[in-house]
Amino acid sequence: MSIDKLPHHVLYKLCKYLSFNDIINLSKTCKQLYILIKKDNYFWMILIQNHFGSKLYHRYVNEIFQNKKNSDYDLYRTEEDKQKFEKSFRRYEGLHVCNIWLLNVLNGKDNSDGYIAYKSIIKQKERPRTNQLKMSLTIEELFEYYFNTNKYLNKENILEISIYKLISFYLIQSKRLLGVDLFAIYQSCTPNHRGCFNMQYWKHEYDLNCLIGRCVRLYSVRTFYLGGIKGKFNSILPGIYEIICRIKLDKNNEYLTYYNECCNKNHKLKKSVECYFYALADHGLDCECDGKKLNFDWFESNYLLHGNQYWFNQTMGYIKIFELSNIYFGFRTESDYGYRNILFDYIQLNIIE
Amino acid sequence: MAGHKIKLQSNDGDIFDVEVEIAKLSITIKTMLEDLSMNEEEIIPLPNINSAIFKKVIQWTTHHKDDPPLPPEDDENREKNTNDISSWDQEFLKVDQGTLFELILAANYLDIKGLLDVTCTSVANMIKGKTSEEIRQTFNIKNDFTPQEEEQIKKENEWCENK
Repeated sequence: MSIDKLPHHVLYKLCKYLSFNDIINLSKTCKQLYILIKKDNYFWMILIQNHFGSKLYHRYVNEIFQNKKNSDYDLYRTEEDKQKFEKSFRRYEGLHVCNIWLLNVLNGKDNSDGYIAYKSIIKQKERPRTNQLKMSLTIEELFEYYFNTNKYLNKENILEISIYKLISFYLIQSKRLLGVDLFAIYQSCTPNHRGCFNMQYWKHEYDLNCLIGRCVRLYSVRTFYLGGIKGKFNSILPGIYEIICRIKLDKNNEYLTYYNECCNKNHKLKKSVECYFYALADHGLDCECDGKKLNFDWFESNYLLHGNQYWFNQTMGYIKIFELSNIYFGFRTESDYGYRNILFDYIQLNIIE
Repeated sequence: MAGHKIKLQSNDGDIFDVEVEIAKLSITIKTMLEDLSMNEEEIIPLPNINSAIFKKVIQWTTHHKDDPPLPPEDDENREKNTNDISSWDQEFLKVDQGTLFELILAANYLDIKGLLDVTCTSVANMIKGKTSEEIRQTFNIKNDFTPQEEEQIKKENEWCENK
């Protein structure tokens, strides 16, 4: 008896214990094993079931492809809605687009897409037009996701691949952006904004224990009030995602004197450190994590736990996506007077049920 | 009833007296006993299992007979901590590959989830992190692809192997 002689249903069970890459490598050893996975929908369906459980199996194998698209009306995305939002967006033209943190996160200087998505979500929350928004995806959109993210796939060769393999790969693949690849929120951003008083302020640092050896230091001093980092996940499939940031805390002695001076002037400032995270999916909902949670007590208790040595994963919250979406997000610290800093390694989306 | 025994016959004719409680760790046998209300004197044939393997299976089930029942296969305990093999099981699984695969087949046929878990985990650990060539060496698999086919397969999988 040898591995390539095992009946298929037993190999399916074995594959449950293997990662995507291990399965690909196993299948490439000989013909008998290659047949198993090549274009075999059933194999990949079982794998999704085994790796992700029946809820996600149901969602990604059946539900999202069967559900019809939500109507523009339900999503506050009709032409009329959009025109209305566009009009209110124009009020911010000029300096405001960058000076308002949220508009900056939503890439307001480039276009109004982010802002329109934001308004749609706010409206949906205020006055929902339906309580039946569904997750929906077409095969074309799934392909589009791959064309956008994978340089090897094109309109011809993608048809050769089992669609469930594509889904399986999506579910397994990490959806992660590195801090050093994100954008600083600062305001000298377009030719028109040259006069902005906020300068780029962030610092990249070397750190052996972060993913690629470099991370970003976030801190705020008074003149950099609006700072932070922002970024965008492109083409994220429908689902519910947990948003995780891998961070580390540091008390920055360079700023200790400054911090103490500020505190001496006003004792209340001593405990004033706060962080703020916001994310928004342009065909989904938003996610906010503010100073109620990410405050002085949060900082100190995690500092006690991890010190300035260890990285940890901070859950920022959960975000629900109904249709293929881009996710805008921004993260900032404030009122830390340069002393209580956050080092930022990466942000990651984890699919949950 | 503890101590109560039933007779099981392997495909090479040997008959084994096995305690009911131990035999019932196999869902296949449990079902036969309960569903078909088989007579205790009746010999249950196991056409897919030879004596040597069946002895191993009895050895395993005897050792694990007092384990708490495994939680049903649901979503919470789906995630496999694959390095998790107890030291007794590790010792138990120090067998040649042929025996290991026979054990997988037996566990699958007899429907003994715990044994299937641990044997599959053991094989999975031999595969993890290895290249195709290393897997071939580990399991003595003959590469029956032509160079052209290999090139083709490489191309087919480019999209999910390269970042």
